[in-house]
Amino acid sequence: MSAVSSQAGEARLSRLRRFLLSEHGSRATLVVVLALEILVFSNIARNFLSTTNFLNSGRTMSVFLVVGVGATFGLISGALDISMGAVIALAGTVGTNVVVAGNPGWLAILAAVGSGVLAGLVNGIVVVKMRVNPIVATLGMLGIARGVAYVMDGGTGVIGNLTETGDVTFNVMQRSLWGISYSFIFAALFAAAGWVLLAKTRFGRYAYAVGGNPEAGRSVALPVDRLRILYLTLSGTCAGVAGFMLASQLGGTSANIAFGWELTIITAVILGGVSLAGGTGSMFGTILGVIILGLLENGATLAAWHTNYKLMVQGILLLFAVGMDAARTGGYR
Amino acid sequence: MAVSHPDGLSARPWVGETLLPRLPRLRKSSAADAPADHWQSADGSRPLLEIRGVSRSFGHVRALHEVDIDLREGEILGIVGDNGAGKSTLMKIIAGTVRPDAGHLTMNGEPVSVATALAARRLGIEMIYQDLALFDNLDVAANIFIGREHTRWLPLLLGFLEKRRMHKEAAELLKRLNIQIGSTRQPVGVLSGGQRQMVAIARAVAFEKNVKVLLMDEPSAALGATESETVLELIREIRSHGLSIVIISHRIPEVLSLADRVVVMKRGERVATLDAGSTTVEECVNQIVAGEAGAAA
Repeated sequence: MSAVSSQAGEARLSRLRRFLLSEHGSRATLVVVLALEILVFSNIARNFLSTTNFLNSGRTMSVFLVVGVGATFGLISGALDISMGAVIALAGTVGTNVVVAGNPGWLAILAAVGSGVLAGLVNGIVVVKMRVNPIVATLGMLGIARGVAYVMDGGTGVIGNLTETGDVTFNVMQRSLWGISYSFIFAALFAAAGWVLLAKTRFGRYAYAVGGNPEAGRSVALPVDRLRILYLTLSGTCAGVAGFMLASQLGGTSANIAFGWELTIITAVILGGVSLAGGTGSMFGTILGVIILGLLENGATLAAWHTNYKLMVQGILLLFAVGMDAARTGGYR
Repeated sequence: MAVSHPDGLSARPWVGETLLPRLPRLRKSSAADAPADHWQSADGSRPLLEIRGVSRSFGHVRALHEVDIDLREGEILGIVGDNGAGKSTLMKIIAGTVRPDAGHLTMNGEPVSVATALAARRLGIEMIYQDLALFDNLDVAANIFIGREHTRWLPLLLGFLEKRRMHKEAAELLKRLNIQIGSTRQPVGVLSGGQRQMVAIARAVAFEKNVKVLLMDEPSAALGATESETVLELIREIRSHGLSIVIISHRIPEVLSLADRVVVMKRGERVATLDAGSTTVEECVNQIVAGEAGAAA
């Protein structure tokens, strides 16, 4: 505040700090991180800067993007959903099993997405009706979904059987249009729809309201509990869709897929500016966060890094992201 | 422009048609000066809201004991008293969030039930709590319109927000109420305490066409001198549009400058009703400390 000359340097610093923590500033920071990442990997990884590679990593990222849309709604509304990776495995396993059992592909897609809807709904009901902290409730769902997936997989993995069924509907995500995978096109449309829903509609506005101040929401007669169930259901639904996409891309699935993805998804979303405490964030930020982590995954593979190093960089990014979040919101007390 | 609802029962409020610009402006002590309506008795002071014999206990604690209070149309009624005198319980009973053990309310002479907050709201009773129930992460217009957004194209939750229209109408509303806030695009979290209080007041009175009674719990408690003066000015402004306002406050000089009448509560009973114009701070304090229920005016 003070403009005394001896404090001018300090004032400039705090202005920089304020800018970095503002919405525009954090986005600018993200773009810088992304640029640095591209710079580094294009130097250490051959073929990183190639159309083929971007199209490839686009296909991998598309699954993350779809889950990220759901996690964004969940987290903005104040619910950290950590069951998403397990629900992806559940949905993938359910869908694959339905096809393998000889049913039409569209039914399998429906079953996969449906299992995600169900998981999300259960999460929501447990959080709202039993007053359980979302992290704990979804931790329970993490165990349940992964467990069911293992039971249905029978310990064998069902990969490989899909091609024998002759079904082409369920495998739709393996196709591409002018070299661009269906996965990527679908995820882009999905994220666009998510952006519209979050930024333009009442549903999105209430996510911010419920995440920002649930007590005030009750005072102004918002149906806070029902909304919370809806946001968690949407989160599960997105995981279900992602599960179908992954199983479809792989031409089958095993119960092990998407193991530990929670970390990646949450890192991407928080890196994108969604607050752990709820109430802030944007779909654009999530998209940027997913791209940053997706390129890390891709670049690390191309540079032949050991998975451990990739995990370490991911952890550093997560700490960086939550550090920014803490600086914005006042942090953990 | 939108469809109008002459019955006034619409759940869809339209800012351009709210009560504020349409009501005639009433001067202070309007109840006495206003032309007699059909329901008014000869002296023209038939109260808008009559509280009769209201009692409420919490366990062994007697929070309210047979309280009678009148609220006249267009007046500001101050309620003062020590901590635990029953002020807040009384407010909550009027607002429908606490149910009385005994007693009843009448509005315009008709017995009414305020068993729930929603019932009270339907009768035109709005309450602003001390915590204001604002969303710090949403902007001013979003806070004013929360739960009653203008939307188009799709129904219910999927409705697309008409943001520009809501910003425009929120700015108009603030201007009409003489509230200086700058941009309606600022998040409420960056506003000062006084500005937050004013946003909460604006939200409470703006949209329901039938708001008749506004209850305020310590509207200036957390504010500095300049800010409280601005908020008090706004409360006077709102009263001039014809609303009846009940205010709980610890600041007696402030209550005396603002209110028409002051009710003094002590140990769950009304010990005095004073005319704010002719009483003094000393008399109020005296009643708060030493008042007796039987001697109530």
